[in-house]
Amino acid sequence: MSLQRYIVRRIALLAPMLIGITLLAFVVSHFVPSDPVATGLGERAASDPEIVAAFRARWGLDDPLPTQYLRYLGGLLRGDLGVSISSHRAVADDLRQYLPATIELATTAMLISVALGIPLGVIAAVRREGVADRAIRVVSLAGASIPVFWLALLAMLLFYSRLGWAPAPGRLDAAMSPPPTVTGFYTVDSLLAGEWDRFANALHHLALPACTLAIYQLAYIVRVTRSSMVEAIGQDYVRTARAKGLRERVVVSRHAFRNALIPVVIYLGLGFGGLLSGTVITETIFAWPGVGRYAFRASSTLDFPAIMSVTVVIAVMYVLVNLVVDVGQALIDPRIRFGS
Amino acid sequence: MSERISSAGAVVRARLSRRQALKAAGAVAVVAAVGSASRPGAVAQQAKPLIVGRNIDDVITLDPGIAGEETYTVVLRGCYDTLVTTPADSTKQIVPMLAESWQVSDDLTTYTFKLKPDVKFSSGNPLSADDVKFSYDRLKNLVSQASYLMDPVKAVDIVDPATVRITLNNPDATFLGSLCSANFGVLDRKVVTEHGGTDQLGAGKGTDGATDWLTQNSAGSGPYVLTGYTPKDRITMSRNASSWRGVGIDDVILQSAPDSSALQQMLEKGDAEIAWGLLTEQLDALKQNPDIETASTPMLGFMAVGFTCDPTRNKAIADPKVQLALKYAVDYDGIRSLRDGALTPPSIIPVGLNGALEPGKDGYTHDPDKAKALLAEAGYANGFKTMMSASSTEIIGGVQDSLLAEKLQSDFGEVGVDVELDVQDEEIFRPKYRAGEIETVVGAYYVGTPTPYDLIDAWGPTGAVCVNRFKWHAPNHPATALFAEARKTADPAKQAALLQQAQRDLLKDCPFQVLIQPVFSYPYRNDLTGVVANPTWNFDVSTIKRKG
Amino acid sequence: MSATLAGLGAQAAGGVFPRRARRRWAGGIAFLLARPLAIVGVTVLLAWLGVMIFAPVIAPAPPLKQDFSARFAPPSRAHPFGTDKLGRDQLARVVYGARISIPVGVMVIGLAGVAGVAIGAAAGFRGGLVDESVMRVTDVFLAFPPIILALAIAAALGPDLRNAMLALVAVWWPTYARMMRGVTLSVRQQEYVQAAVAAGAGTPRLLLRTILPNAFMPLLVLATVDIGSGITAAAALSYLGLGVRPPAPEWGAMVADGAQAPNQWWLAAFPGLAIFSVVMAFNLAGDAVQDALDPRLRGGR
Repeated sequence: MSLQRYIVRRIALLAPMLIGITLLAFVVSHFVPSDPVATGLGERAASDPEIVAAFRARWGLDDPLPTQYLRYLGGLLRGDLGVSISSHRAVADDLRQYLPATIELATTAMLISVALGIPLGVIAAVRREGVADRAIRVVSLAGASIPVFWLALLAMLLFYSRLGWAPAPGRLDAAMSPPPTVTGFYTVDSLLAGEWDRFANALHHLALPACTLAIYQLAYIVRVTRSSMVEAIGQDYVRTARAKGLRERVVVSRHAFRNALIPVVIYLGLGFGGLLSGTVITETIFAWPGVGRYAFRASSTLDFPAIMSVTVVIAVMYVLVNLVVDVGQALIDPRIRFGS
Repeated sequence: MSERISSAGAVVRARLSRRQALKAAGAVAVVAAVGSASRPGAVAQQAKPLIVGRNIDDVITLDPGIAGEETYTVVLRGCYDTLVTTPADSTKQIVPMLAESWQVSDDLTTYTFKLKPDVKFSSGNPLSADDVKFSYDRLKNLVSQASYLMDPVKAVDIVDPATVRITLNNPDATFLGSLCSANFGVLDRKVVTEHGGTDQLGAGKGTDGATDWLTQNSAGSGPYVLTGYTPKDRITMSRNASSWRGVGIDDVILQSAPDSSALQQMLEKGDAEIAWGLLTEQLDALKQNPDIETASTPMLGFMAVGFTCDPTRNKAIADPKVQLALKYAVDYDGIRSLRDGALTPPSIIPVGLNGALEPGKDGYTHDPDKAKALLAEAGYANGFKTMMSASSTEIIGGVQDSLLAEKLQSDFGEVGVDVELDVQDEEIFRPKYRAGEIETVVGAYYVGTPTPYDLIDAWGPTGAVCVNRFKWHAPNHPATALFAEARKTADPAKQAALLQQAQRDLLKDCPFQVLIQPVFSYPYRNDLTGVVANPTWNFDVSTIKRKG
Repeated sequence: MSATLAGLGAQAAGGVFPRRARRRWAGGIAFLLARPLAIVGVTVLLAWLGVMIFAPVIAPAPPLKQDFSARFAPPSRAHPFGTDKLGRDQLARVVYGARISIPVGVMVIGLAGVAGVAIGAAAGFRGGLVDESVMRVTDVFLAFPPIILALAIAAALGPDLRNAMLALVAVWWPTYARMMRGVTLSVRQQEYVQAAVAAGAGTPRLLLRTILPNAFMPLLVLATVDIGSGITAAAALSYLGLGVRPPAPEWGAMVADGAQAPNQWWLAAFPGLAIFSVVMAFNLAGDAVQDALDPRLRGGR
């Protein structure tokens, strides 16, 4: 299979996937036992039959479910994600506001966990069964074993309340207004505007929540890196390189490491989902106005249009990230294309 | 108008960022210069905005015709004026605000207000009777959750540009109290109409389009203008230079703090200067901190346990004798100890309003033996089972409904009643509660106006809560007539006597029991002064100043 | 969470599992015992098992007993873990909490495992359209970040412990289905299985005799690695208010309660430590089991 055909095939597979995602989200959110009339209108207006009828007609609540689903799909294609029952705003507007905050947080967390996890995994593999390997393993497993909600609490108490190293919860100091919106990432936007103090402030606020999220990922990155490094070191070409008398460091960095990276990259795509899950909890504790908190709030207030759209958008994001990872991997490693 | 306000917002923003940059350079002296350059008359120490930490997730809109829940009260108090109000530290007295004076007809159905002269909106437009009528008619015709406030009103008439007359459907001696509600804030008709607002019939069906604009901006005569609302992030207000009320601090930020323990930490670190919405254990902990003071006031309402009178839901609970037994099973002192400063009013009118019963004099006391005896008399010597519903997310005056439910589960357990808790998120609990799909329930009720009738209309013998939720309808109850009589009684002392007698009668057989009257508390950094707690508008940011 | 398990599951499913599983099984145990960390993990797990069984003996008071004279009492001789907002003994609540939190995590994985194995085996065995559609459905489920989908499902079902478990099972089964399908496909291609099919052996018999023994090891790896995640996920749902109802002593809900009182550190600290110790123990055990079954790592010794 040529590279183009592989990519075309992956993208073609995306269509049924997206239909499946929207269908699942639709079915789940229509099981939500909320009365959209009562929550959307309030007690008083809900007792006025004329207003109720107008409300039901406006949202098409009396249509059969398949019709509602098709209308929802049609709306999605036009970028219309419905209107949130609890915020009374277009879900698309809500997400446009909250999504960048979450992506900024998750990406930073990913960068931190990669920057720490890959070197630690390599060291563990090279010093296999040694003291360093065991120590790295225990520490990273411990990181993966701490519940995120507990870790976030401890982190706040220690680094904010006691030590004062971290700033107050939120994306910026309260007295500082956000940079002019370009991307929605405060770090990027403040750089684009050339506002260094704001950039520093945004980064400072990002540090603690991102580290909290990163710790959970770290263990898995270490494990995947270590095991693929161990495998790579045992391969023939590495043995050959060694036999040629190349120094161990060169062998490890030139030959083993490059090949070992592929499973790590695949894992990063998958790990992104774990990060998004983690944001549900960390965003509340760190007052991060992001999509995880939005999803939680939507679920707990039974705001079904918001639940439906936020799950769809996050799932689509996740699928796209994995698509990019897979295609990227196919570019590096021809075996993938021809293999499957 | 919109340009004016948004440019004011831009000025604030620019000044803030510049100030930060300068602060970093250590050029403190220049800050004052920059501050005063951008806004004449501002002094250096006022350049720092007041930061109020608050979970602002409850804000859907800041339109006075619709706004509800809690956070809006502080914003509307800052941006709008009402005709009358109460003094900051009292709920028993009505004082002028936009109305300079007023006359009440002898039959208590016509209220005529003379407006204060020379009041200007933030747009510069003068305020007149026309604006008052527009605002009130709009409130009514929006058919929002706040429109019930207009139910007693038959008509709002413009007598002359400086005089407005309100005619009621029925005589009501307590109407001025209702008028203190923030939802009666007077809007700038011209500006609101420019942004799609209307006061005509049908405003609630989509013909009024001003709500979105009024959630980002304000159109009032209050000391502040709303400069922006970013959901889950912040609400900002800046001084309204044309207001007749002054301010102590020019800029106010309501900073989102969704997690209350994080908010406690923010206050202790100085990152929030007032913390609004803390829990009782957090408020207790702050008492140890010498940098923190707390302003408190009893809230105008209560938390109560209610019982269904529908025997098909639970035969035992619906038995009046069992309900009486359970009123003796409650450990009132224990419950009061859950919240520092809380009270135990015997019945529905809370301490602070005319006609409240004195705590400890009437009402029930904890008497498990009597409860057991009554249960045995009713034929439940071996107890019975009931499901107790409560909201898991509601927190009133620092007390969680679910905490009371856990306490009652234990109290009722002591007299042999086996309680299973059904504690659910507010949004799931509330519709079930409204529909009366409960056996036993813990619910809170409080009002945003200094009048007892919002409470009586809900919890009296023919009140909506008793009828719809507890399935109890008693139009012939002696309390019904007494409450009605009190409403038509202008003399406060006579009115109080009638209200007290009505409550003593109600106490005997109503299907609910008041458990606690919590207090609203606002802990703040002690370099602030002028933080005064008020149960109607929580606190007025315009009176807050920095010391020194 | 299950993104990570999806990754690990894919790894496990990708491996080739030879026929003679039994020797590997014995060798695995020996390997496991040779690792001190695994022994620590197993010991901690046994200790928690003891706590669960002997909870009434260990707990100094009933877990729901309120004492208003001792609200928010710090740890002391009478209350080693302190007391909570209603004066309940925290040690008793942590001890009894083990009876809720641990079984819930185990059951989530168990149920997801059973459902996934059944569906995956059917897909692998039938092949064709059944296989294709099952795989597409698992794709869809795995496309959602797990907690987000679990939140939505738990909200739809209504918050209580059973529904939270169902939500997690709904999120978790696809991982097991994919792994089981992989094993089934690879075993089916083995000559002896093909021969048995040719000789007319029935499907159930084939499943029992050939496929399940081969799937046992990878299932075990996946499950030990997962149980920790299952416990954390269930606790997280309770922390968010979508799990147990009060006054049940569940660890996640206890941390949520304790989180509201930062000055009473003991309220969040002990239940949090309990979750951490159990999950860490499962992870240590799982790590060792995984190594034991990874031929590359064993070969290196």
